[in-house]
Amino acid sequence: MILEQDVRTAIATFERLRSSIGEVIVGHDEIVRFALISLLCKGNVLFEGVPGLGKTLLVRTLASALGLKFSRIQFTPDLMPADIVGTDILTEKDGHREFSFAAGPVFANVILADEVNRATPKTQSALLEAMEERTVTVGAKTYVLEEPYIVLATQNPIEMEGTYPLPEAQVDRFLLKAKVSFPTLEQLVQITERNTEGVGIQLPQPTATANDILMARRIVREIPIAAALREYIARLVLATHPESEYSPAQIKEYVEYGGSPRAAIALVMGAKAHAFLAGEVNVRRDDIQAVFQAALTHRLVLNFRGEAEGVSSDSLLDQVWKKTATS
Amino acid sequence: MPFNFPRFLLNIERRSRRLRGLSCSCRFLFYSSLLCIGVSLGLRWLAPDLPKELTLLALLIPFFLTGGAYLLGWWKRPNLPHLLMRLDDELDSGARISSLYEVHVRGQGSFFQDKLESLVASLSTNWKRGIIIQRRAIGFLSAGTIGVLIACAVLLLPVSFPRAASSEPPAQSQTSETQMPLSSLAETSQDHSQATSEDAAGPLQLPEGTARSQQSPSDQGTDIGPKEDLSLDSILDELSSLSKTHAEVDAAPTFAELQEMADEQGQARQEMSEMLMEMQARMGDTPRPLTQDESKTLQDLASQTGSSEIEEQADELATEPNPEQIGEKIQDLLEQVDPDSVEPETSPETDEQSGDGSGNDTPQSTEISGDEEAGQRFLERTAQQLQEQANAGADQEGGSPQQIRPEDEEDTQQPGDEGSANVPMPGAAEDLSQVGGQDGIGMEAGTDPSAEEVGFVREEAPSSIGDQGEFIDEYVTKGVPVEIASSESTTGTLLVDFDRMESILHERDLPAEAVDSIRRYFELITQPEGGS
Repeated sequence: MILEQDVRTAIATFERLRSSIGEVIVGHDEIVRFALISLLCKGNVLFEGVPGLGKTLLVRTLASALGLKFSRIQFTPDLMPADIVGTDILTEKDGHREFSFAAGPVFANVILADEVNRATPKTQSALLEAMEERTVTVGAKTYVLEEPYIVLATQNPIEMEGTYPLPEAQVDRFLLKAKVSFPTLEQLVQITERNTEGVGIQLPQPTATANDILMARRIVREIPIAAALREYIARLVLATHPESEYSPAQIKEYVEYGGSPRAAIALVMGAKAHAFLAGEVNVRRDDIQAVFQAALTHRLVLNFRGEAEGVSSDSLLDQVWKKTATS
Repeated sequence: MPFNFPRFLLNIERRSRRLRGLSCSCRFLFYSSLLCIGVSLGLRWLAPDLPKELTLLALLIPFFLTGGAYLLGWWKRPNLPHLLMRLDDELDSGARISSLYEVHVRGQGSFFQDKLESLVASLSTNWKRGIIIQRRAIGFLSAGTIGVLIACAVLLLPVSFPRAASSEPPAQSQTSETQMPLSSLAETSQDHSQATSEDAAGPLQLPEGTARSQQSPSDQGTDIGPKEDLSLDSILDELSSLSKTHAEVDAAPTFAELQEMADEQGQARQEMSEMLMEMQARMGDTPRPLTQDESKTLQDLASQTGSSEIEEQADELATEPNPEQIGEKIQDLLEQVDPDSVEPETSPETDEQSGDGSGNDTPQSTEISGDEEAGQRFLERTAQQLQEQANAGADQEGGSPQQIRPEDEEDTQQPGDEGSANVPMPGAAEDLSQVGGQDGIGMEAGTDPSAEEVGFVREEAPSSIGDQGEFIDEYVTKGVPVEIASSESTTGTLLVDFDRMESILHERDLPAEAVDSIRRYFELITQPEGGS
């Protein structure tokens, strides 16, 4: 049974975590919140943004603040799956030769998959098992990854030459997708100041342990959500399907496939985590709204017309939210 | 006192059910008030004689339906999760009540339950503002109340409806009498020439109320105009109600008897007309007073016509000592008895009379025959009621139904008197087709002696076709070089003047291929054996 003290401790821990990340990362509060939500929900997050916005720094800062093992994988077209998950190598020990497993970079707590769309789909798919089942299978042996485990992937939306868009199956495994926006004037001034003066950027000291993360995850799952809100979330997800009775006209016109059941789970869990980070004791409609776009924007598959007319998923989701919220 | 969430939920549910019942009842109050207005109007219109106590029962309709609707709305349990969510939204409580309900349903005691209960307890003081009656329900309530008040006004206020206005007090109806022409009765038995001109000649004494009722069809056509709400049934109902108040119906003459009476009157008129014409011819240029026998015969016949005016004029003629006045009085009486024998210059006057509401007015007849089925029912029922009324009138007068009061007769013969009994009464006719007017629609072939009167001239217009028929030159293409062989030996063959054909084709500047085709065609048709 969760006690009040546990809840208060967990909330305080994540407040400290957010604060220490904020000392390194200028702005991007929403990105940091999404990363923490994914961590609390046992999920993964995909950051999309042009190079140089601090995505890698954010992930490294998070890993440092958590005191967890961090691993960075730079995805390139010639990257092989074995380069990610590891491979059996022949070693000689005490006069005997035997295969021993050399673990890849995926064996860590916080994984940064940088420019994940530059690798081939075969290599991208090497992450699927690790992201969803938290296991890695090499040969005939399956290895369980250590919790807490989170994959934070980045991709560049502009440079499309030589990229391989993530397949829908892999995209669906990301709990949230956050768009990293360009900093404002004040933020940019602050960034130059922090990076060019003094000793430069120093990663924060660990402020939380793996146990704190696991305890917080338990608390998040216990946060109550009203049945009516669950139904509301289900209607939201159904409304992204063009064949659904709940979907608005734009969805029917531009969308090929809507959100999967994972989207509904992501919405509920994301809303719970958001309520936890906000210090609430139950899920509110505002919590759902806070994660609605991030949980669904990468799960909408536009049809040819939508692609041709350059319709954005966010605008479609706005329509879904407005229509479903008022119904 | 600790916060009791189950009791809190119970209060929310009760209030919701009450308000739902109220909302339903308001809605039903509105709709049932419309129904109540309709029923009230129907009662006032169709059954004005119902006791007030019974009519007031109509006012209970909305209240019964409203009560039932309240029970219906109260009986259905609300969807509690949705209700609590709505309450959360109204109170802007951040879904705390709904979440606490969810925790209670799952039965998991935790920090969140305690925390939520403490938060919801602070909301429990003013939660009722989250469940209020909808504005729409208030609108329905207002409209429904107004509707009930309108229904009350319809039932209670002494408003004269068209139906109620036509049923005047019996006392007033009994004080005056009018005459009712039975021209249609006469039409069934008399010659059409007499019947069409003598609509006002065979009146029977009838109570005024009945006569007014009989006027209703024509009045609707001329005075009231196209008032659709005055149905035939309502008029007939009124007629029947009037009949009961005016007269006893014992020993009423049957339709056949009435028809016989009309026959007798027509016969008497005819005999009288012949007698007068005979006297006119006999006297010639030397008029003389009537003999005693002639006077008696004339008075007897006049008494049988059923017209007091004719009787009066016959009496004057019988007692006229001045020979110079005899011829003039004979002529007057003859005009009265048989207007057809009047000189042509008197026709316009007759036309005017018939045009101002008399029985020969074609438009009126057309109106009546417009709805044949209803009209037929109306005519039959009216005829029966006329018989009853006539009999009742006769009983009151102590004389024959055919007896006429002079003043009534004068009223009847006033041209342009809309209230007179000159209104067409084809109702007694058994055959509706005879109401059709002068066009003779529905009349049997060969039984229409009035055909000449209406200006039809029987004339034969046979078409003439010659023995050989006519050869229409225009239908033959000019210049075709074809001749039909005249001799029998060459029947079926054609003779072609090829030289002429060549010249024609040459003139028309046809292509050589076409000329060849035409030539081959003519060669083929001029060779029956097929050779060329």
